[in-house]
Amino acid sequence: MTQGYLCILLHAHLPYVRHPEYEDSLEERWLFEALTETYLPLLAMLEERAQRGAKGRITVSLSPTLLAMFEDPLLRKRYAYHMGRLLELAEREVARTRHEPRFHPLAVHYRERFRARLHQFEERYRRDVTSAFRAVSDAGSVRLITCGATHGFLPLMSLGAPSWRAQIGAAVGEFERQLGRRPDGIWLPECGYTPGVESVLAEFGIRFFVVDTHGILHACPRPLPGTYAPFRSESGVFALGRDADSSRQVWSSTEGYPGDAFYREYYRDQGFDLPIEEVRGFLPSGGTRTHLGLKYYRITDRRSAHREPYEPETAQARAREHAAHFVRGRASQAREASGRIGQPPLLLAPYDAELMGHWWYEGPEWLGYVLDEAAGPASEILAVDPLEAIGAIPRATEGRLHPSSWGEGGYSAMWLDPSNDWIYRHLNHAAETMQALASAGDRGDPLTRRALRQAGRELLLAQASDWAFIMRTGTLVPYAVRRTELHLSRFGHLADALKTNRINPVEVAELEELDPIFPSLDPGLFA
Amino acid sequence: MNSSERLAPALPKTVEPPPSALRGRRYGEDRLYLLVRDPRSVLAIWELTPELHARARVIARDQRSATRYQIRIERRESKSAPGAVLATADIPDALGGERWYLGLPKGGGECRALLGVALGGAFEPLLESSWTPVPPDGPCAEEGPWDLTPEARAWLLERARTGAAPGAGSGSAARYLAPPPGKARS
Repeated sequence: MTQGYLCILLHAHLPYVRHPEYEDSLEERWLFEALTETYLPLLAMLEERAQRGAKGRITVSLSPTLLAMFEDPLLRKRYAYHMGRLLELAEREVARTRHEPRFHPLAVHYRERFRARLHQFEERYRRDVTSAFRAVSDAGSVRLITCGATHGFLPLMSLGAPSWRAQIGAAVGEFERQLGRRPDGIWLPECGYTPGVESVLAEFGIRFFVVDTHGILHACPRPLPGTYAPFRSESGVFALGRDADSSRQVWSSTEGYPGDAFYREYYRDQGFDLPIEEVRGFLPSGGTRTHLGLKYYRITDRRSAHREPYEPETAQARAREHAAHFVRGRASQAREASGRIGQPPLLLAPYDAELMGHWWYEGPEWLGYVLDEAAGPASEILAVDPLEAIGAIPRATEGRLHPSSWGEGGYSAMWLDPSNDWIYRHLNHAAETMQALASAGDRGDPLTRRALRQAGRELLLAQASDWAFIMRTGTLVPYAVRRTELHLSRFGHLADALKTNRINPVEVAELEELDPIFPSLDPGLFA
Repeated sequence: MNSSERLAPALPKTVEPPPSALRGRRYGEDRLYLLVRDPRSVLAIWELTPELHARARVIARDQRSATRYQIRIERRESKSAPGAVLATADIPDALGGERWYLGLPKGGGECRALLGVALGGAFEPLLESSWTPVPPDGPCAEEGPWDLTPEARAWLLERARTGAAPGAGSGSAARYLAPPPGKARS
């Protein structure tokens, strides 16, 4: 008998990073690493499940910036080249370690892994990762949903609905253009909610979104079942709250599975461990040491710096054990909650997709085992998507939600801090300017429309929560500052041209080429 | 100008923002925004034109007072409720400055900021922000309908108490390129 509904949701997002002006960019490797370690392994796992008709479904939010990068011919070409180079390095490692029995099997493991990823990308997908996601969605293994257009943090957009409408409307438009249908759900960037957002979601036909645990627990009136029941917001769109127990089991640095001694250690990487002359040719221009994805050690003991060689088979066995433990825990939790609230509970378990595979190497396999366990004949929980859960759970709670996010502190502190607060006056000014320009319209002039559309793109790109986040965390700050300045500067340039009606078609074309995101963006969304 | 070192310890620590060409840039408009950081702190951001500054000086002079800028945070329970002043801060340099953190004695409701000149006990507003929702300090006092046994209710409230700490779960820290070895993931 079904005691509960487990919704595993992976939020896949990277900021839009595309640098045709450089031959090789460190930041473009964010995408390459995530493709190799997260997106392609996840797809492989979902395809395998679809092929054998396995039950159970997860939800994946694909951010529009990520979809834009999947689609970009330059980035596709560069990823194929990058993988070719990695494969070359792996081949060298196989040769170098031939007399090192502890490491040679690992070098072979990576060579085979890279070879498989390159084949998956080049031969099977013909470089089209979006279509691969669409295929597993059509096969029923996954429900795909959207996210804010550029991951703008909605609670800090002072203009409110017009800014939210642009972020959400552009996202829905892109989803439809690339995936052939409108999304039913959305992952609000950083889980950032503020009252009024749900009305804009309803305008675009969105039926559910996710908030952090306290987003539900602090709603008014207080929903007694907490996150165990879907929450109907005032606009009729459902809010689903993160289940704290499921979350802790994976995210926690102390209790979480990814810290297990047999799992792969992230921080030891041949990009740092090999002599510089052996890896220089594989590092980004300038030779800055970075992670290359060849990691030979397991976590071993987190209290010590000593690391033992990684053993993939042992790690796989641990992933299987952890999956069984996770499902047993959820079943027990569901049984208990079900008895209390009088209906099967919702257990929403959202994670950053990049946690699976990139940070937690065994994450995609763990997830596959979780789905298998949940689909077993004796299982008491069903792995479903949010719409299935909403349809199956008899009763929802309802009321008013308050602002919340899933960042540090649970509100806006991560994105509003002395390290990044200086950006908001400029972002607000740009949003107000864009609203005025969009309201004035294009007067039927194609060039004006192109300039308006590009101005909209630049504003959206400047609004990405990633830049404030990076400024706050203190790594790669100059890059985040430069991106904020760059997009605001490009926006300002276009806005001035639009205001004075002196639009230079060459300049517009140049900017279109530099930031070709969202080709069908409707400037009217900003009005 | 940075308010954080002078205000409550709950407010963010002083961090020198990164150098940027945008710092100090003016758009020639009078604007005031209020951004909510958490239930107990907000940030007022503004731009004041020399024209409005001159007007403030005239207002102060007419009242035989020095031009003393002040930010006031008003709070109201709901859209239909009247607003009341919840927090104030004297701003030494409204013309040259652009942002100020203020602590709030309680969360919830909606707040807006007013930037104006303090004239003895009076206050002459020059700019106002729009009203912005502020998260509450904790769960709502009013309970929604749900039939529960006392034991089930106690169980759920206990779970809510332990699971409700905002920010208890991690967020999107793991997305970007990792720091070099030896530095823990944030």
